[in-house]
Amino acid sequence: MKDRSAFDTVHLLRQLADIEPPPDRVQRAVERVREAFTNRLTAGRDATPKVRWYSSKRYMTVAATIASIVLLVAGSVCVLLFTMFGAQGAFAHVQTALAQRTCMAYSVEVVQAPNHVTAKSGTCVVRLATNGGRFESTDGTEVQVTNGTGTSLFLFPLQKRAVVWHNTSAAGQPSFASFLASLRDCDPDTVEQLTDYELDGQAVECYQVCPESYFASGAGMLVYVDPRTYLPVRIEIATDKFGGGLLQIVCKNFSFGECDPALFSVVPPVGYQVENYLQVDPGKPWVRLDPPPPPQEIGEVPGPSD
Amino acid sequence: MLPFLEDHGPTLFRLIYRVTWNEAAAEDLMQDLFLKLSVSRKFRLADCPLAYARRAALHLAFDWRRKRKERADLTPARDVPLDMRPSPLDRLVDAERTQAVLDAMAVLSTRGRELLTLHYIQEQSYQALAQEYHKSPHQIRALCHKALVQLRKLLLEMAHPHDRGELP
Repeated sequence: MKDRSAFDTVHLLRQLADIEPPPDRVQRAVERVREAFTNRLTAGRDATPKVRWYSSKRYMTVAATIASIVLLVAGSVCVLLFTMFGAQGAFAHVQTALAQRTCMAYSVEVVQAPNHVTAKSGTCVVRLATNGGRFESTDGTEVQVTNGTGTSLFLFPLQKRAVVWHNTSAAGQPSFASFLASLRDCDPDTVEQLTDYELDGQAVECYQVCPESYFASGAGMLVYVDPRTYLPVRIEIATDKFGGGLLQIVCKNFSFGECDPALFSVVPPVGYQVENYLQVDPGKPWVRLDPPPPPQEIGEVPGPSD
Repeated sequence: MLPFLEDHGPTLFRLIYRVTWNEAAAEDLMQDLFLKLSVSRKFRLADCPLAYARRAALHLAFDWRRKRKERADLTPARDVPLDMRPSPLDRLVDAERTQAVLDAMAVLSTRGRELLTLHYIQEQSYQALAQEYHKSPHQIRALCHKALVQLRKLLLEMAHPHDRGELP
């Protein structure tokens, strides 16, 4: 090692260039990293459905939950920014941009859903000032409206049927009110800025919401923001909390502006058969306020008083 | 990040492996690397993301060498050409010498070890390195030479007194 000839450093360095790891280890390493990234997106708690889905009432509860997730995610992005980060966070510019917006609209695409979960693609309009939301399915079979104060309206145009859900207590339910209250107590470090991505050739900033945060509620969530306008351009949600597979939803085609307050009316349209349900306590079942008349038996003979 | 992983992941893994000589450590460092890159603003804004990732990989790998407590696996990789393995004894000597070189590089200046690794191990030309470091090829050549001199000096200091001629 005293001179170059004794210890040919360059020769040893060049030898390293010929060393190759086993091909299977290369692939394994790449796969491991890919898996780590996938887990970051889809990390969520395992949960099995506790109810059967054949009941229309339960179906509606599930549908309401899914719709609420979609509405909450997109409709509350701005609130997340306002409440969790302040001026010091990476979202400061986005906060400023969203502060002047009153309404936003976007389309919802269900990329993947478990068999037992009915999640429909459609369009959403969210009124940021009141947390009102309106979802219309693409196939025209369903309209969901929430006024942000615990009352939701489900319309089924084909059946001319309207179902109104009254939540006197929003705690524990997917309502905007409880969601916003909890957001204010969230840990500000639950959102992480990732590297920039490109969407349709346009550079965007990407933020990941911690799945363990109340806001994400176990779902993996990525929020893409236009660096020029600082407004969301795409939100990706993935969760397996419903069991039976992954539910993946993408919110895109965002637009911001004014919207008609009548869109968020929870008054059933004329000509619809209306059902009203009330839930006083989140742990208790829904109670129908206007029970339908008992069905008349076939062949029943009217009494003498009729 | 996933497209970047697909395109450059294998290259970065090979680079880490050549410095660490340890498959398990290389896998761990590879994961660390991409997790760090995914939240790195500098990486996002870099003119050449691959160059940035390569430097970050080298930093992690040499950092691992400095901090490791157990000896790395001295067994040469399975697909090292046979002509590089003249005999078990020579192979072991070569492995020890190479380990010594890599250990010395770990305490070399950051730029010095980067240039030595990229030029001699990754076989990047002076022209390519010049573009990456925004210098002329002549400057890169000079920096490489300077780093090599430093490396030899370090190796001499780290060598056994007998090898240095201090013992009879």
